[in-house]
Amino acid sequence: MANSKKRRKIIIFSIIGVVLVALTLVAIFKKKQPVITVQTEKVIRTNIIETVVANGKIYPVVQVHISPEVSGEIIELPVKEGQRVKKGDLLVKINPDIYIAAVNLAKASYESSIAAKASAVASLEKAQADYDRNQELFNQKLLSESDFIGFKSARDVAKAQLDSAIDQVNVAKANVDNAEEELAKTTIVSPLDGTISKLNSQLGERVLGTVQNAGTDIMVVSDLNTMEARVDVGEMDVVLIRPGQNVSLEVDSFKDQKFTGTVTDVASSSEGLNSLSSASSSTTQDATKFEIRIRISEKESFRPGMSVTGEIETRSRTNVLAVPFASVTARPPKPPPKPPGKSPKTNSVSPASKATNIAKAGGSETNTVKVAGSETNTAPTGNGATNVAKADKKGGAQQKLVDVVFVVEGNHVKMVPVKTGISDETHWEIVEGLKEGDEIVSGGFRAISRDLDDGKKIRKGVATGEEPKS
Amino acid sequence: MPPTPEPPPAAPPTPATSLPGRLLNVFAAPGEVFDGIKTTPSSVANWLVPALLFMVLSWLSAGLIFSQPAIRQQISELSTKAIDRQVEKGKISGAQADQARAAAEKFGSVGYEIGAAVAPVFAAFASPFFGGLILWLVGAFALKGPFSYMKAVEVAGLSNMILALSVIVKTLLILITGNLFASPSLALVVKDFDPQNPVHSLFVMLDVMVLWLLVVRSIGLARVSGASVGKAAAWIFGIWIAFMGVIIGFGATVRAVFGG
Repeated sequence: MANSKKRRKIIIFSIIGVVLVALTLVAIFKKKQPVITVQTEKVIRTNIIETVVANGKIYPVVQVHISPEVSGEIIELPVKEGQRVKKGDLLVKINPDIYIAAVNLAKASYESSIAAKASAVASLEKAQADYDRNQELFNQKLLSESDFIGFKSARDVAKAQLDSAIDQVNVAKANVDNAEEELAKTTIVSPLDGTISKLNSQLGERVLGTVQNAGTDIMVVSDLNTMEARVDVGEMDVVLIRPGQNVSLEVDSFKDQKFTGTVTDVASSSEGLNSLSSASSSTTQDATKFEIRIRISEKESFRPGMSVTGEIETRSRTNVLAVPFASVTARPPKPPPKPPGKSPKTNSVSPASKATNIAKAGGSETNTVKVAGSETNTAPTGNGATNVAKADKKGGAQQKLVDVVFVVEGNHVKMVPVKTGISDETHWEIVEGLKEGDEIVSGGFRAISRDLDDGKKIRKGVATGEEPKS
Repeated sequence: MPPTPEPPPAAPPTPATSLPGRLLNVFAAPGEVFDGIKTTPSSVANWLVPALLFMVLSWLSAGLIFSQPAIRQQISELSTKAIDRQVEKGKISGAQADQARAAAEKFGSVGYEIGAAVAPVFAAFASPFFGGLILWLVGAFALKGPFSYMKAVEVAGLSNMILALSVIVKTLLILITGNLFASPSLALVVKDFDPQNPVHSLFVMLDVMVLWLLVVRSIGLARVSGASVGKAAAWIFGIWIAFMGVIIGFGATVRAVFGG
């Protein structure tokens, strides 16, 4: 009985001991490595259209700012904002009283000059007759030479006076024409068929003519049948844009509706270039922008000033290898295999500090230089994300980063350098480095940008920090 | 007058074993240990030493576990997942989530470490007294066994040696699997363990070491109350199942009401 109990105890303690020893040995010799939860996708073939996204406003292609050429009070304003007008329709009438008086004055002056001319003609005729009669007497030596010269001078003076009178008539006529022209300018008519898109002045308001300064901007007449979007793009993207490229447009006012357009004009100089002095331009924080004009194809009831977002299709590739946008990140290149016998020289960076995800927005690439030590993580903005890790300056020369993708191999990942092409909103074109069907890590952001490294252990699942794609 | 028959000789008293002997024999011959407990005077060491052992082992285990990068990574992921759930349910904004993620990344494991330091102290002393209370209530009222509360505490305390062994086994399993929730239970076969999943919680309950503990306590209860082991086990397992049901149900209710 006692032996049986003793045997039972030995067996039980042996089992406990064996289990504990076995577990301890496994725990000691098992490679301890954090398992990173990731999401994966396959490398696919697809079409990629690279776009540049830009914001701006809608304007009519043709719009005329109406300013008066003469100053005065508005006495007629038969239009209101939004009214359609035809070419030649009265838009504004400015009080013409002083201009009518000016015409009358000019006309009186003209009449006077005509009378003066008639007087000069009569004077010349008399002087000519005196000259002719005395010339005969002078030829017969009946008149002294000095007297004859006096008659001759009188005739020449009369001739000159007539010429002057004729010129005075012409001047007076021109004054009449000018005054009538000024009078005509008190009435402004529409220069085109269109719509009063903006009305700044009111009846009774005094307006300044363009002779003085810029003049008053009374109204804007626009042809709303042909509209264009004017959007601003950054200097990195403007080089990709050419007239004729297709554009997909979204107008805030027309939700869930897409419009199409074509690039018609690309600004050759940046906005505000001329207005900025060299000193101020060097200190300004504003990004350099270029205006792009896009003719809208659809006829919709757009109104000038509506906000618009345009996706300009800059480049496209068909049936190319592509990976999700988030899959591509940047890491220092793998060191070349060391020749045997040489002691390893560490030029690498600790995994914790290898956090780099390069932003590539709208086709523009940013080359980032990486360094060990501290690290900055910037949340994605705009079209891309930027994660730049700084390197340990003590470590020596800065390393240039290369684009990489993490390929799934069993429950580990392999860091594969890739050459990327163009990108759209969701995918990068892979020019080299991967083949169709390769399983690659597509999330989460932190795993790709920071945690993963060549040979790291992974587990497929919902990566932290993001939800699975539906 | 016929001679009166002599009373049968009393059963020889169980020889008192040393404390180390009791602590070890509770694994292999618990009936023998608890027979001794019933006949010998109460001893504080019977419950205090297992409690201290459990506490020290738990601290060592926590230190070992939290030094593992894989575990730290898992804790970080758990925090992030919890924050994501809050965002998904609209309880916090994206900006708040970013702040919470940054805080979790910075202090995420601190909470777990504090918990791992404090919880063993509480568990080590609560378990013998609370477990003893259950045993005493069942033994005294249901099984009609005359024994003192402190005897029940000793039974519960000595049986906590199983818990001390459980700490070692669990620690080794966590180190091997890299999973913070690893235990000698059905949860070991769950691929992506979710502590908020009631089914997964149920799997955790089916822990070999816990079942062993319940068996030992049942034997202890049977010995000190004089009831059969089957009857004692029925009570102990029944109470345990009800208790676990309440805990799982309470957890599910809290999550349903407050959104976990």
